[in-house]
Amino acid sequence: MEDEINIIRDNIKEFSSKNLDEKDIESKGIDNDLIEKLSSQGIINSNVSSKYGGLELDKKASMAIIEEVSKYSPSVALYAYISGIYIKSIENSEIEDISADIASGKKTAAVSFSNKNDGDKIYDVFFIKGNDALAVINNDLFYVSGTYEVRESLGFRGIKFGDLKVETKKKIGNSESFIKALKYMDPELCAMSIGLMYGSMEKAFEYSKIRKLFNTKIKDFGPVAYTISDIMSKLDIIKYYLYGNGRIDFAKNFISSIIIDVTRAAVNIHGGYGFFTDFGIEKYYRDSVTLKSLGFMNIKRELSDSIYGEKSGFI
Amino acid sequence: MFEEYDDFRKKVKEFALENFTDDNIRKYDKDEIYPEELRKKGINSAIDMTNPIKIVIGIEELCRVDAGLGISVTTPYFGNEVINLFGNDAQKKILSDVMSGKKILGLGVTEPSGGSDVAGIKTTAVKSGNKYIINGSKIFITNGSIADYILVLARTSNESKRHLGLSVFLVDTKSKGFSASKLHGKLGVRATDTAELKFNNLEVDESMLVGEEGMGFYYIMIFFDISRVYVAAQALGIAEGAFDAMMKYVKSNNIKDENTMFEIAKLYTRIQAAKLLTYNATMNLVNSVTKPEDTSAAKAYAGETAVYAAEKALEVTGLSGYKYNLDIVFRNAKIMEIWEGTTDVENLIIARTLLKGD
Repeated sequence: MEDEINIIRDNIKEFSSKNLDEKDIESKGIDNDLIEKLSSQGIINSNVSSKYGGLELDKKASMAIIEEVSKYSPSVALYAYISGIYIKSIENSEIEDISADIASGKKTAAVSFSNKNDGDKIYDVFFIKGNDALAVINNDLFYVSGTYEVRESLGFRGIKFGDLKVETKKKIGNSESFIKALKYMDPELCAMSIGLMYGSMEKAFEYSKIRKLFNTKIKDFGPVAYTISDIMSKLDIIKYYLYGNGRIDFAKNFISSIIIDVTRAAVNIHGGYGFFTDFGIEKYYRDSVTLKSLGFMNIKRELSDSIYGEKSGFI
Repeated sequence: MFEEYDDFRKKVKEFALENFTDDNIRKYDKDEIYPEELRKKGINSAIDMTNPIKIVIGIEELCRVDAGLGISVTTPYFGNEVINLFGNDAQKKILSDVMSGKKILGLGVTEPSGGSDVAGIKTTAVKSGNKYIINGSKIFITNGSIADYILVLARTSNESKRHLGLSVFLVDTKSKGFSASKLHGKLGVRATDTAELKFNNLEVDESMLVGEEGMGFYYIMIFFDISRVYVAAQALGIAEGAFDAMMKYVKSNNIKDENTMFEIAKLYTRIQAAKLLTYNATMNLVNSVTKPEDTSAAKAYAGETAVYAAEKALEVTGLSGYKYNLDIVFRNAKIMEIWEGTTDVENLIIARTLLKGD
């Protein structure tokens, strides 16, 4: 199984290095051509049922794919994650057939990540194009359509972000199906986070080997080398939780504790250059804080409930 | 501390709230344009360069509302202390135009190959008659493409010790051989002007040599010991602004869980510590006390506090943070750990100064 996953990783790495230029994706977005490629490579349909044209890959394979993609393009990885949530959320609902179009790339997924809604407005939607989304409104799950008001996103700029002024809405289930979908995609969320952290650290690692200050390669300075080594060792522990013993809650908690520090360290190691888009490192920092807001807000509660085996830490 | 300046603080705050509107903050950040009209408005109202306390309070209150705009309107004087301390009468005449707001000054130290390694600069200034010929380049220079004058650190001789043989020149940016390319795509403080400078056989009269030849490294180090206090004030303002936004969110959403309470307490305490360090370093300036360890401690701690505050505020507000411009605050804060010496450099200064004192 490990060999198969390694082959998948190699294939995705090769595809990503050739097709996923995050700087380009952040400025132009994810176009139709790329979405079709993501489908044909199994990036947005790896864990989708074959009846919808998915690959039905093992969960670990699906995680490995999203992890490798995230090293190159966190925006594409996030889109794969959103697609997974979308498809899982509408399972057994009256709009279940849309899954096939999402998996094939004919239609794009859009999801609201907040429970906030204000009259006819749905907030905090990540989308690629179109005029519809999935949103939880007052404990029910709705398929809504309307007009988007796009906002500038702090992270994942390859994906559009904004609020949707709702014109029509159809109830397709309850909030539980959306929450279950989020839970189902937690391993992919963690894998995406690990990929994002590795992506930033690998750049810092390579940079530290060539950048010289005071006539010395910066990798030879303790604070630089030890920071990178320390982070690399921590990432390996998270991978063990994720791929080894399957403690997703432990992985999630660990990620939540270090993800911003990791990407921040990667920027620091690049010095002044790290502050500029051209060097392709600051995006990981922006993405990490956005990702934390998206999927990790309740991890402390989730973990303590799991450790105590009952509701805890709610005061 | 500094209660006697409360009226001035209030005046600056009012200026910032009136002029750094959400629309302006977003516009200048998005378009990456320097807010020249706001700079002019700030002269004689929010900007008072007459003493370090007023400079620190001004920077703090402006950056509390928005660091991109706050830094933009307070940096046109950047480097003035070098001329003030070491310059001749002709240079001080130029400086008077800078201090009155008629001209803009910049300081060119960092080079593409150098970063924190000030002694390793490669730009040269070769004496030829009564002129110096400057060749080389500088990068990440604040005010680089809008400045009327730039103070340039260049190598005037090769000495066995690298920090020797450096000199500072006051260069008119209209001079032949000077070119500046504005750099785009910064993570934050995008309203500020940042440029790459090139000097191609640029001739500068020897009267524009600041102080003594070969003393440039020392002048710049003394300058950094002053300017880092002002960066600490920028960082302090950013941290306070993030805290303000977080409190507004927590109050308006009636959040009362203990975890959030603890985050508020920790952040408040940390900001107070950053404030004390910054104000202590400010008093060193007022009293002409040279203590680089205090300056670097203030800059490093306040810089990290700005980043910490922005991260925590976003953690508490989540995706709602944009409503309070916390996405911009987060992007602005990061530079506080980088410019005017990275946190690693500040730590080295603190440790080396303390060890030297034994």
